[in-house]
Amino acid sequence: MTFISLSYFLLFAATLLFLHFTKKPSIQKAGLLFASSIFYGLWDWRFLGLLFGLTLLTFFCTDQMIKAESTKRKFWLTLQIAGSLGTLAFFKYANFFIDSLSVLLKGAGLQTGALDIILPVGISFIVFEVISYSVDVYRGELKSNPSLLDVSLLVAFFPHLVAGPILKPSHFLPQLQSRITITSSNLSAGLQLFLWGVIKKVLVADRLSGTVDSAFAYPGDFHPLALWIAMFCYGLQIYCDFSGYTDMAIGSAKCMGLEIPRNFRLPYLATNITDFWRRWHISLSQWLRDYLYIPLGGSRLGPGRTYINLLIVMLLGGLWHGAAWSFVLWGGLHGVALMVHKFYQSKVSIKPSMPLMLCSWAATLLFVMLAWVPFRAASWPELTQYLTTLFSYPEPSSIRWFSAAPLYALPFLLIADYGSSCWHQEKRLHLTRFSHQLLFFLLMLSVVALGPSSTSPFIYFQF
Amino acid sequence: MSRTIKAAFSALLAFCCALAFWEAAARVFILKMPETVKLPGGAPASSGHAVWSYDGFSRTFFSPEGFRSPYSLPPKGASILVIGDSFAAAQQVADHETFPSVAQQILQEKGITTTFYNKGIAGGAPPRYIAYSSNYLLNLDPNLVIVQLGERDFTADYPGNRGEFLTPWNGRQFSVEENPRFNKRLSIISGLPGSKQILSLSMTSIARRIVPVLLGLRKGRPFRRPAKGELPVRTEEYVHWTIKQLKQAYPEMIVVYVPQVDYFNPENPPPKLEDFIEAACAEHGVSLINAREDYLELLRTSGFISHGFANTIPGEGHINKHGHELIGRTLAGVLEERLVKK
Repeated sequence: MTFISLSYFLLFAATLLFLHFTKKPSIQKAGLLFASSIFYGLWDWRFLGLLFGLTLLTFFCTDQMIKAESTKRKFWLTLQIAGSLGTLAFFKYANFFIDSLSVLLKGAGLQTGALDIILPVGISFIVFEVISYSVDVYRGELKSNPSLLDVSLLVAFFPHLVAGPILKPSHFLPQLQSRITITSSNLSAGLQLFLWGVIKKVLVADRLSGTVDSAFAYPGDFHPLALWIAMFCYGLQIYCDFSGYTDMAIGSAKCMGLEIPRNFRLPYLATNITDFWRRWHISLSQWLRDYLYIPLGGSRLGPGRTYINLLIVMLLGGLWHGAAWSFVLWGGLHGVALMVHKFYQSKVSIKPSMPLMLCSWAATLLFVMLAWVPFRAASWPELTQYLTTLFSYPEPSSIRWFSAAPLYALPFLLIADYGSSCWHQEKRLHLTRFSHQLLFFLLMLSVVALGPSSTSPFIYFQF
Repeated sequence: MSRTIKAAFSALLAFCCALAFWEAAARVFILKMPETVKLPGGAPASSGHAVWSYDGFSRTFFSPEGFRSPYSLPPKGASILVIGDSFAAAQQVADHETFPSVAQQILQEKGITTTFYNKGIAGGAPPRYIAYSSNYLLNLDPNLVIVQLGERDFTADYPGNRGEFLTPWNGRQFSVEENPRFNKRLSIISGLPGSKQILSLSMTSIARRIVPVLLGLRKGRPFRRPAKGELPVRTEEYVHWTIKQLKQAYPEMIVVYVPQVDYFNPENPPPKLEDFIEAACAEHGVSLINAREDYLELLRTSGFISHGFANTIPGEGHINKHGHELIGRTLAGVLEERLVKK
């Protein structure tokens, strides 16, 4: 089930009605968990067992952690992390390692078999969520001991279940302690953000997908300029696809009176790569910082170790996105860029000026866009062909096709990004006023009037 | 409670105003799709500038009768009737760049005066050209008829039941029958009060195409690598029957075949269907223009592809100005020969 589907709208409406007419918080939470099970189960009901198995493992380990003496707490944490990462490794990386091994062994004349493992939707997000919970319990960051129902909801709460944002347990769990009240102001606010998300997804990301898909399918056939356009289109597509999804998730939760933190903060306006990671997929950046970078030593162990830590974090961050060397390369590129920026910051101190800021912004944007190429390429040959053509002179038979899709998509990107940013700054439409209602419906109907004739699945669902 | 009712009324009014805004925009920019109406001769319901979201957005002018060229121009020189589907209607292609216009201009430069009547219409298909031949020829006595055909005419629209006509096989031959289900899909809604007004809204027409795709109830047309699709059964017989029937309806006929070209694998052989069309045209003495080789040559020499537009998927959908120009040039050559002979 995806956010833009009839089944989701029905499930969402039923959930809101149930929450509205139910008085008891525990029954409300049980209903919310049931709705989340339907949401996830409609993809593949078999993975509901995996979802709740991981939740049970986490609850059991953290429960033991709370009861155990300080010396034994580490054992339960290790067990929980090993179990979670083991599950992730099996479902997500087994094929990848077997494939990589078979390439190596093929040279020696040996052959390996293959496993046909289906990737459960959102497994990477689910595993990171349970790890963050158990580490927070270990660190004593949670003030109360949550029930199994609370922990299950932290993991399975349907708006964030399959593509985040990854929730901070200390932020989300306290919200479940009181009764969920459906109010008109929350509904109004939630619907607005949901609409901004739909506009980003349908009128920008889906509009650009045709350009991107065709260029990446046959990179060797196109004129280099066509590939440059497609590369920038992909940068906009992935941003609007993912931030659109996040807006819909936050908007859905807001309708129920639950707060999910912001996940994007105009990332393409970043003036350096460190700034970019403070604006892009914020919940993942924070997770990597809190649960990987800082435990590795962060920047406390000297500059050399800081650079290595940054590289490790970004390489693993890349691998988290998908089991392919192209994702590792993407993570590695960002890791190296972060190292270079850190080094530059420590050695050079120039007074910021507008021309410098503009150059810095352009260089950051160009790097981020170029780094999307390995992220998007379906295979290593496709990646090398794309990059080779990108930096080559056009052949006479290179297809001269220069997409105009960005011209259609950009105005909506600007409008939706502006609207979404205003929403996060509490500047929202008041849906009781006629003029605001009119604007809301004009935007809503624009999706129908100007929507493309095809849609594409959410990109981050594959992770 | 009164505040809630007031807000609800205000919301309803706001929705109606927003709908009116988009309806006005749609009326100005977006033409009704022809399959939603059924008129003899294939004229769609309204005229004006069309902006097709199916292929992205661009303005294409249609005459008050719904065709690319006026229905009843006073003929000058030889009159040539063009029948076809959206490829002939040439969405997103400027008036002077459509293949009939290109052919007319070239012939004019050579001193041969012609008048082209472009009756290409989106959704057109051979059974319609056969069944409505008298309507197509109405008030015209063309010297020649150009019938534009495409792969869809023999694959997707045959033996499908989505079109205006069915072509059932009775064990020995095909026949043309009206499709009783055509335009009846909304019969339940049509019975409701006010439904006529609602269904006549352009926004309703757009929503019927877009909303089911948005909600995941119907699949859209995303980019896909070309599949080596099997032809429907009895395609060869159907092609022969179609050409024969068209020849009977329009004795002075030239077939313009617009192929689907896999620009990314140009070395692939053309589909078997093109052999069938070639054989059928030869058997029934019909001149055939197949643009495949011209399209591939253009790709090899200049890198331009003839299908798709800057705002659509390259290599897919309708032919662009390059595709039209190549057909127009070849057509001018064939017409010159035919008209000079006469």
